[in-house]
Amino acid sequence: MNKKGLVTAIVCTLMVFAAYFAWQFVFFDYETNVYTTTAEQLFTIDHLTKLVPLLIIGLLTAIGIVACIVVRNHLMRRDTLRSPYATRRAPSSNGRVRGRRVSAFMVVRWICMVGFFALMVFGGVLLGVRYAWISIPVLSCPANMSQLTEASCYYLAHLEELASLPLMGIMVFVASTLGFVLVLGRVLCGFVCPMGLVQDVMHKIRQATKVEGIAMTERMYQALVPIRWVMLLLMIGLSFVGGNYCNFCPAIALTPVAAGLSVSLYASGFLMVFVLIASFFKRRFFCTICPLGYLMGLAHRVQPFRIKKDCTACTECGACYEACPMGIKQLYTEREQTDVTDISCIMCGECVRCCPEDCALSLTLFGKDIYVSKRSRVVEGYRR
Amino acid sequence: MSYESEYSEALQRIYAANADVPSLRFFFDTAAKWHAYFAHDPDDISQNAHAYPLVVVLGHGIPEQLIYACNATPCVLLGGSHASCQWSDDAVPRDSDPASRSILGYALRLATRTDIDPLFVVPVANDNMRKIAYHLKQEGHAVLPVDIPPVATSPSARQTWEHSAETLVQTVARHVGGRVTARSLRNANRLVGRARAAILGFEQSCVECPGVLDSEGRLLVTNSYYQTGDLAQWTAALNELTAEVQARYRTIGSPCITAPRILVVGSPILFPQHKVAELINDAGLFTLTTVDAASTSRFASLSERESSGGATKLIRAISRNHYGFDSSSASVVNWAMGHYVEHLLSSMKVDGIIFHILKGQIEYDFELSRLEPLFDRMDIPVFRLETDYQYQDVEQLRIRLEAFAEMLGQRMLVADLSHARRRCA
Amino acid sequence: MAYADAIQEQREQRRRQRFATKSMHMTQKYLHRMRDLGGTLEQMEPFFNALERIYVQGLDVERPRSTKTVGTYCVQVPQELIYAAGARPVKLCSGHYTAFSIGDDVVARDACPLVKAIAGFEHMGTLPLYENCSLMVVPITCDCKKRIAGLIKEKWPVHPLYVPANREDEDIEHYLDDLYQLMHMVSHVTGQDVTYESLANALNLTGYAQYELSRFLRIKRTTPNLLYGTHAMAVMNASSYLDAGVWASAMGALNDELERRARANELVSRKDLPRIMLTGSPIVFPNLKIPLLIEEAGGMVVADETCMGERGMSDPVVPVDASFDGLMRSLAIRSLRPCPCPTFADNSQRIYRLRQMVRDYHVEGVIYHVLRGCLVYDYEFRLVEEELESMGIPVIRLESDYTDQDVEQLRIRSEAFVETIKLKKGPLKANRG
Repeated sequence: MNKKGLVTAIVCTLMVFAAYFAWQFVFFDYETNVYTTTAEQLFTIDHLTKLVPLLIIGLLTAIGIVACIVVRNHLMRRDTLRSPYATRRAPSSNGRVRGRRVSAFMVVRWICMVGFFALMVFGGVLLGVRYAWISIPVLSCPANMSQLTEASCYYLAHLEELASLPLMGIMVFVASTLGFVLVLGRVLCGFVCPMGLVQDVMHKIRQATKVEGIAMTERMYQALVPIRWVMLLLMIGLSFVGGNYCNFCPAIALTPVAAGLSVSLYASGFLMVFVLIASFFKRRFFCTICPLGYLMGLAHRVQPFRIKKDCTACTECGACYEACPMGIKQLYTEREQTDVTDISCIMCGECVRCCPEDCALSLTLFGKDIYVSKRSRVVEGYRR
Repeated sequence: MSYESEYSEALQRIYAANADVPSLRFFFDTAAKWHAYFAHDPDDISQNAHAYPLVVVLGHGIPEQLIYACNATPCVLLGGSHASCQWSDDAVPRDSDPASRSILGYALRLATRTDIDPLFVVPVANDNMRKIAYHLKQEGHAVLPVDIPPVATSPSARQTWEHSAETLVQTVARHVGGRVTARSLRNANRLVGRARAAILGFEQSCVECPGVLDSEGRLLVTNSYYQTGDLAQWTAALNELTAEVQARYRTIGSPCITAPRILVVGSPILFPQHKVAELINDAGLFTLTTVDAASTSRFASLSERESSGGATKLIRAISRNHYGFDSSSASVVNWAMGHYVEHLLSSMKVDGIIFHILKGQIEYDFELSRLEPLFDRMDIPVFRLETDYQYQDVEQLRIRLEAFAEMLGQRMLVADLSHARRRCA
Repeated sequence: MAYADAIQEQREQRRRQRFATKSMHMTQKYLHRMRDLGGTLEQMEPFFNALERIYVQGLDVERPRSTKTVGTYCVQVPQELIYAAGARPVKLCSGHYTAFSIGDDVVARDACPLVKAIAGFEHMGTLPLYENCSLMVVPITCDCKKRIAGLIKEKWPVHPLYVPANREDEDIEHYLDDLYQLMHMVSHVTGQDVTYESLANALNLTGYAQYELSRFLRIKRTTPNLLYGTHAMAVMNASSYLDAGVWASAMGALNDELERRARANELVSRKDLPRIMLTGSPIVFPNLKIPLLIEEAGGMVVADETCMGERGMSDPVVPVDASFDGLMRSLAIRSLRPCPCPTFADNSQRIYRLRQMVRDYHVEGVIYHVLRGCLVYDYEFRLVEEELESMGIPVIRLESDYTDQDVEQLRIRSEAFVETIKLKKGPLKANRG
C-alpha cells in the first residue's frame, strides 16, 4: 500500500510541476495566435494546413498505442496462460459476436455528440451567430472564438478575471453555467462535450481492432481519486499563483485546432497525446479525472436526469459495472434504493444498454423512462 | 446436561485421574476460564459503552500468526460442547455435524453480547462454514469469509491465498485498531513457532513416557492452545509440564506399555466431548497421537531467509508456508493428512487405527476410502468409529471397541510368537 | 487361476447387464409417467428422444465421430470454452435411481444422492455418456462435488475448477486465470486451438440457445397453463445432452408452436390450477418425481429456481469488450456474479431472484426441495421461508432421496399442499377446480 501511495504522490507532483511550468513545454508554437476564423477560410487548403498540430498529435498517439501494445506483448510473454492469445486479436481475425441490437438512444447520443462537435468547432461562423452569453460547462475550449457559444471552463480557470467583469457579466455567467449544471448536469459529458466524442471514437477504434484494453478494478478507480483532486485544484487555483491552466488542459488541442485557428500549444499538446492513448485503452479515461465534470457531478442529487434501478429484477450480473466507463459499482451492488445516480455518472446509457434483465435499469427524466433495459436487446441479435 | 455442568464435570474427572501432576493445574485453569466466558447469559452482561473488539475464528484453516501480529488474540471456536449445540438449534439443518452446530452455538452466544464487538473470521473449509458465515452476515455481524483454494495446481491458487491472507490482516488490524509491521509479524511468528514446538515436544514425551498422563489429560493440554489468552505464558507452562512428565516417568519406574498402540485419525476430539477418548482408554488401547485438521500445521515454520523482508513479503511467506501444511478439509484431497499418516505409520510401530468420523463430516469418510489401500498394504486394522455428541451409543461403541482391542491384542500375540519362533529357528 | 478369473469376469458381465436393464426400466418408467400427464406436443419429441437415447438406448450423445465430449458438473463451467476448443460439453450431474443404489455402497453414507449416482455410473461403467468423456471438468463448489472430483480422478482425467466463495473484483480476476487454464486443458485434449473466431462462434451458438430459452420463459410467463412444468423441466434438462444449436432450433420450433397455441387459447387445462414454484436442490432427469407428484396432485409447476432447470441457462453472456480477453472476461463474470448457488458465501441475491420470480409468474405456493444430504440448500431454507412468509406465500420443505420408497409420503404432502393453496384462493374457486 505504501508503494501505491508513493506512485500517486509522484504522479501528482509531476502534474503540478507540468502545469505550473506549462509554458516551458512547447508542443507547437505560432508567432502570433489567431483566435477567430471566417466562413470563407473553412474547408480550404489554408484550413488544412492549420490542422498540422492535430496531425502530429494523431501520429504521436498512433505511435504511442503501437508502442504500448508491443511492450505489453513483450511483458506478457512470461505469462504462459495468456501469451498465446495475445496475438489473436488481429484486425483481420474473423468472427464477431452478434447479439446486441442497435438502440435508438445510442444513435441519438452519437448524433448529438457529432452535432455539437460541429457546432463547437465552427458553429458560430457557419451559422453566422454567436451566443457569447451562454456558457456551457463543457471542455470546448474558449480559445476558439468561432464556436456557437461560450464555454465555462475559461472563467472557472481564471476566477480573478471573472471577478473583474461587470456585475451583469458575472451574473449572466453564473446563471448560465448553473442553469446547465442543474438542468442537464453530466448529460453534457455524455452528449455534448467534444472531448467526450474524441474519447468515444478512440474506444470504437479499439473495439473494431479487437485490441485488449486495461481492465479496471475498484482499487484502480480509487487510485485515480487523488489525481482528480489535483486536476480540480490546478484548474481553480493555478491562476492565483501565476500559472495558466489553459496551457495544461488538453482541450485546447482539440476544437480550436480543428477550427483552423493558430493557437500555440504547450504542455497541452503532450497531455492530449497522453489522454488519447489512455482513452484508447481505458474508455473515457479523461472523464474520470476531469475537474469540470466533477464540479457538474456535485449537483447529481437534484438533477432531473436520473438512473433508476429495480433491485428485485436485478440479478447482480455485474454487466452494468463492466460497461460503465466511470466504474460505478453501486449500479450493481445496490439492493435497497431505487435511485443509483452517482456523482461520476455521465449518462452515457451503457449500463442500460448492457443490462440483460427487463426493466432492471432505466435512464429517466423527471421520473419518466427514456431508456429502459430489455432482455431482447441483449439476446435478439443471436436469432437465426 | 447444562453447559456449565458439562465442562466442569469433565474437568473434575480429568483432574481426578491426573491429580499427581501439579503442572497440569495451569491448563485446567485455562480451560475453565475459557469455558466460563461463554457460560454467562448474554442478557446478564452489563451494557458497556465501548465494546471490546474481539477476533473470533471459526474452525481451522488460517495461520494464527497473522492475527497475533495485529496485536490481537484470536478466540478460536472449534466445537466440542454438546450443550452449545442447543444455542444454535434452530439455525442449522438436521444433517449438519455436531462440531459445526457447536461452533455456531458459541458464535451466536458471543454475537448477542453487548460488551464485545466481534469480528468473525470464517475460513471457508467446508459447506457448514460457508453457510454459517452467510448466516452470521445476514444477522448483521462483521464477518470475513476467508477463501481457501481447494486446488493447489490452479494458477490462481497461490495468488488467491496470498490475497486472502493480506485481506485478513488488513481487516483484523482495522477492527482491533492495531498496526501490522514486519516486526510484529516476526514476533508473532516466533511466538506461535515456540508454542508449536512445545506441543510437538509434549506429544513426543507422552509417547516416550507413557503412563504419566492419561489420554484425556493430553487432549486437554493440546486443546488449551486455542483457549489461552497469553500464548507465551502457555508455552512456558507446557515446557514445564513436559519436563515434569519426563521426570515423573523416571521416578515411577519407566513402565512399558503392552497395550495395543493406535492412531486416532479424522474428526478432532475436543474438550469437553471426550467420549471417544474415554472409550478408547476403557478398551485398553494406548493412543500414540491424533491426526486431525490441526495436526500438520504444527510443523509449518519459516526458514531464516523467508523470515526476512517487509511486512507484505512476510505475510505471503507465512500464508504460503501454511497452505502447504494445511490439513483442514478445504482441499479436494487432504494430502497433508494422508502424508502425515503415512509418515507416522512408517516411523512408529502402530498396531491399529481408529478412524473417528463425526456424523455429517463426510470429508473424513472420503479420506478413509482413499487411505484404505495404504492400511491394507501395511496390514494395519482400521476401526471406523462414527458417532456424534450424544451419549446414546456409548454402550454399543464400548462393546465394539473392546472387540477391536481384543483382536489387536491377539494379533500382537501372534506376531510376537512367530517372531520368537523365527529367532529360535 | 485363469478359470477363476473367467468366472469373475462373467459375474461382472452379468452384474453390469442387470444394472443396464434396471436403469433402462427406471428411465422408461419416468418417461411414461411424463407422457401420461398429458399435454405433450410433437415438438417436444426431439428433447424426449435425446433423453431416451442416453438413458434407455444407452447410446452416446449424437455427435460427429471426431468431436470429443467433455463432461461438466455445475453451471459455473462456461460451456462456450468447450465449444470454442471444438469439443462438446455434456452435463453429467445425475438423477438416476439405479446408479444411486450402486453408489450408495461406494461413497460416504451421508453424501448427496446426486454425487452417489455419479459414483454409481463410474463404478459400473455401462453408460457411454460417461465412459466416452475425454475430460471431466469439476467445479469445486460444495463438499460433495469437491470429493467426487477426487474420486472420479481414478478413472478419467479430471480438471478441478476452483470457484471462489466470494465475488469481489480480485476473485473474478483469479477465476479468469483459471478459465485460461481450462481453455488450455480442453485445447490440449481436442488438439484444436481456441481462436477469436472459434470463441466468437461459440458465444453466438450459446447465445442462440439463450435467445430461444428467453423466448420460452417469456411465453410460459405470459400464458398460464400452456404446458406442464414437468415437460418444461425435461426440455431444459435435455440441453445437457444436445448440441446447443440443435437444442436451440428444436426449442425454436417448440416456441413457435406454443405461441400458436397461446393465440388459439389451446391450454393443457382450463382449471385455475394452483401456481407452484420449485426451488432448491437440482432436479435432474429422470428424477422428476417431485414435479410429477405436484402436477399429478392437481398443481401446476409454473417456475423453477433450480440449476438444471431455468436457472442453469437463464443468465446470458454480456460481452462488453470485443477483444479476446474481453470475451473471456464476460464468460467469467456470467459464470460467477449472477449465480444464486448457495455455495457462494454471500447468497442474498437468491432472495431477490425468488421475489422476482414470484412476481413474474404470479406464484401462489413454493415447494423447497432438498435432497437428503444437501447441506447448502438446507441451510438457506430458513431464510427463504422467512422471506416468503413476509410476502404471504406458503412454503413447505420436501426432502427426497433417489428411491421410490418415499413417493407415497411425498404424494400425501404434495396433495395436502396443493389443497391448502386451493382453499386459500377461495372456497368457491376450490369447488370450481
